[in-house]
Amino acid sequence: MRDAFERDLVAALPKLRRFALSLCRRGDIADDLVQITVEKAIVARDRFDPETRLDPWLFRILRNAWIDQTRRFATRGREVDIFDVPEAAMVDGPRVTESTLMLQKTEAALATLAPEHQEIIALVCFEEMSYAETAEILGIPKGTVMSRLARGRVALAEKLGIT
Amino acid sequence: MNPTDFDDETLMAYADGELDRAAAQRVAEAEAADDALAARIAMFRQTGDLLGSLGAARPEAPVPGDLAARVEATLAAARGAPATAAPEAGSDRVVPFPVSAAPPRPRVTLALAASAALLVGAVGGVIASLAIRPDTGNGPGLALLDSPGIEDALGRLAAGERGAAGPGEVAIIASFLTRDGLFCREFEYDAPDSGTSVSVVCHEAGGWRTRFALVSSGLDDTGYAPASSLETLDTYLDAIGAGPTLSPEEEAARLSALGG
Repeated sequence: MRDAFERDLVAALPKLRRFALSLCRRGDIADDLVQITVEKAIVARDRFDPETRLDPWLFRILRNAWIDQTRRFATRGREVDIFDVPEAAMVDGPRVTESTLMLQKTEAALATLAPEHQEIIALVCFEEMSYAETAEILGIPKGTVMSRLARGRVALAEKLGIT
Repeated sequence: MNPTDFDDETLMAYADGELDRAAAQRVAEAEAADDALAARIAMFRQTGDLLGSLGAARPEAPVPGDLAARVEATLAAARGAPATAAPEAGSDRVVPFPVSAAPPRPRVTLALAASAALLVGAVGGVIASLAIRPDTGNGPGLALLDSPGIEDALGRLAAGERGAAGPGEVAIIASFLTRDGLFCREFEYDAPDSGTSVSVVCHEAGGWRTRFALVSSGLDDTGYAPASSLETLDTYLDAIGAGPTLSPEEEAARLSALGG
C-alpha cells in the first residue's frame, strides 16, 4: 500500500526522467539521477511540506544531484551523445501544416539561445513550473528567473520575426 | 519598446497569468489604451503559446522497466526501515539500495561507489563530529593541512591529477566556487598510517582553510560503504552553495593567482 507521498513520487517519475535527460542527455545517467533523487527524497521526506507541490521539490533535488555529479567527476568537457529529439512535428499525413513548421522553427531558434535561457524556458514553459517554483529549483531569486525568462523570450521572438 | 511604466518582466507575468489581480488590472487598463503596449504583451503571449505547444509536442520520457523496478525496490525497502530525516554524519545508517536487481551501472556511478568504499568502516565518533564543521577553519585534532606537501599539492595540481605529498598522495577531485565566491577544492589524501580522507578546503585570508573532512582511520575492503558519508559531504556542499566544477582554464587561472 502506498501513501500519498509515494504515489506522487511514482507519478512524477516520467517528468523527472525528462528533466534529467535535458540535463545530461544520456538515458543511463538520467536513470541513475532519477534513482538518486528517489533515494534522497525518501530520506528527506520529513522535510517536505505536504502543503506544497512535490514536483518542484523533487526537481531541486535532482538538479542538485546532477551538479554534485558534474563537480565530482569533472564531466563538463566530456563528450556526450546528443539526445535525439524527434522533430516536433504533428504531421497529419503528408501535408506539413503551417503550425508544424512554426514549431520546428521555434525548436531551432530555441537551440540557439544561451543555455541559461533554455534552462529557464524548459522549467517554466515545458515543465510548467511557476516563477516561484523555478526560483526554488534553481536556488536563485524570483526576479532573476523573470528577467532571464523575459530576455529569452524576447530573443526568441526576434529570431522568429515576432514583433 | 515600453512607453509606459511597465517593464518586460511585468508584461510577461501578465501574459503568463502570474500577476496578482490588482497589478493585472492596471496592466489590462493600460493595454486597452496603448497599442505599443498591447503589441509587446502579444509578443509575450505568442512566445508563451509557442513554447507551450512545443512542450506538449516533445516526447515523453517513459520510465524504463529497470528504473521502475529499482524505484519500487527502494520504496519497499524504505517502508521496512524506520522513518528518519537525513542520516547523521558518521552514523552507519544506510539508505537501502536494491542490490541484485540493479542493472549494470555506467562508469560515472561506479566511480562514486568506489570512492565511497574508501570511507567505509571506522568513521568513528571524533571524526564524525568533524564531518560537518562550522566555518571557522581547522579545528583541534585535524592536522590535515599541516601534513607535509599538502599545501604545495593544493596550489599546484589540477583537478583529476594526483601527486605525492609527504608520506602520502593527494588526488584532486574538483575545484569550485561557493555562492559567496570562495575558491574551494575537494581532494582525497591517502597516507600509509593515517588512512584516507576526503576534504574540502577553501582559500581565504591568504591560506587554505579546511572546511570539511571525512576521515577513515583504516581501509576496510570487506565493508559496505555507508551512503550516508558521501551524503554528508553533498549536504555540506549544498549548504555552502557550491557551484559546478570550474573549467580547467578557470581553475588554472585561480591557482596561478594564488601563487603570487
